[in-house]
Amino acid sequence: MGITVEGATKHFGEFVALDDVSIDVPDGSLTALLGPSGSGKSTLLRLIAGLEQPDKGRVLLSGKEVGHVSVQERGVGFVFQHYAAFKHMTVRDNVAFALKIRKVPRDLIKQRVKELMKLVQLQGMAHRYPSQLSGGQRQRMALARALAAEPKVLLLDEPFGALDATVRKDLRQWLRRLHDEVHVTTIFVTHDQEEAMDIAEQIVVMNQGRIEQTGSPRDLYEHPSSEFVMSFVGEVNRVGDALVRPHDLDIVLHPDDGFEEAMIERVVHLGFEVRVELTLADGEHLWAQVTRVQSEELELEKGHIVYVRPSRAKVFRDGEPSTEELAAA
Amino acid sequence: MNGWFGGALANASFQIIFSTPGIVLATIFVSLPFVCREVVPVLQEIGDEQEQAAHTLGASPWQTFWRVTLPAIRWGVVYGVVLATARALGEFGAVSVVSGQISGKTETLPLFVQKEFETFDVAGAYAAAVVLAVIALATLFAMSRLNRKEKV
Repeated sequence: MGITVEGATKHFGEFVALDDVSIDVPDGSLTALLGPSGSGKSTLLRLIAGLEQPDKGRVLLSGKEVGHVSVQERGVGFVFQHYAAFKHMTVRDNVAFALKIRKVPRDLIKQRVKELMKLVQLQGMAHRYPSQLSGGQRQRMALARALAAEPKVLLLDEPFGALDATVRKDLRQWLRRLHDEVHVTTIFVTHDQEEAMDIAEQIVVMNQGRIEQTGSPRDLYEHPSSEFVMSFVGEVNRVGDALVRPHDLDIVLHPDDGFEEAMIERVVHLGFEVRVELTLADGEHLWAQVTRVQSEELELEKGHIVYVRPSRAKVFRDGEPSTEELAAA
Repeated sequence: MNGWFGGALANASFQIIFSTPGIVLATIFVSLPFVCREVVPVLQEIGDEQEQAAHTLGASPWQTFWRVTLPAIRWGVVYGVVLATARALGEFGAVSVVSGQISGKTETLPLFVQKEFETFDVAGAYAAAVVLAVIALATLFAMSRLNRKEKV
């Protein structure tokens, strides 16, 4: 089921949470809403679910306007950042909740719950209470619960935000595979660009209640339409007016045309990647990302003088969305 | 003099003051704060996320209340009711004003104790006081049992 939002505006008192936002999510896709906190991404998600009503604009599910349709009748699955588990119910009863509300016959519920428990890999935990599960297990239970009534849309509000780094990485791979299996149109909210790039097919970058850019992960990384997007979806150095990705900085040992002299402040070994922190002659700081092999070849060490040049850079002119590519030998 | 509903209720010949409804109202008035004091912090602690989750899963507001909210605050409610009962048991002032102390009709145990004591029936007063004490102890016992259960 495709999701369309047209010109949605939402205020909370004086605060503008959403300012004339429109998005289009194709049927069966996995879309990320990416932005810093307060950018309106959660509000947009809650608007689609029917947990909030827009001041202006409309929400369409499968092309039908749902402004008058209640949360209960929208047929969306919603997963909360802090799980929102029913603490007084067992895992089984949590997962079966939507089916019991719909008065599904007992043996059907039993069968469906069993399938779902297998899908989220919680077999054998049916009789535990949420307090006896780990964070990752709780969130998988919440997912099974949301999927029980076979929603046409799955909405996840920072689903991995409360989990530690390793569990988070595991779960997002798992979500990706789950989506390939279940094919339900999915939107998830995150402030973690790596997470969004890792699993989404389409990313909507939001900032201050507005959409900055919509596109595939690669599109956003290679053709950002604004300074905000460029610095949010990856790391950047500022060289004068231009923004340079740390891996687009060439380093050589001898002076050459277009290269600037720089002193190495620090070399940080992060395994495959090596971070080289530099200071230019005019005192500007920047850092370059090189591979371990490159670093060894150039014998990069603290205190050495090297020469750097951006192989690719972008300049964003004020008020103009157009960008220009610099240099490139 | 009669407030908002007094006239209408009097016309329907529904007696409140000096009868059971009056005593019930006065007792609710003095004991309800005990229930609120137990329940409100629990409600604040659980927040409304579970209720929102229930809504997205198709539960109506009533279904949400019975299946999610009430079970989540049940110990707060029970605890509050026990405290309110203890308070209601010993309530003298408010009930004394509205009851009219009609023997065998609008007389609560504390009122009975006072009446017996003032008419020099010390034995009757002691007997009733013992009954009160037993009920109070039973409440206390019930409460400590509940308290233990909650912690498990």
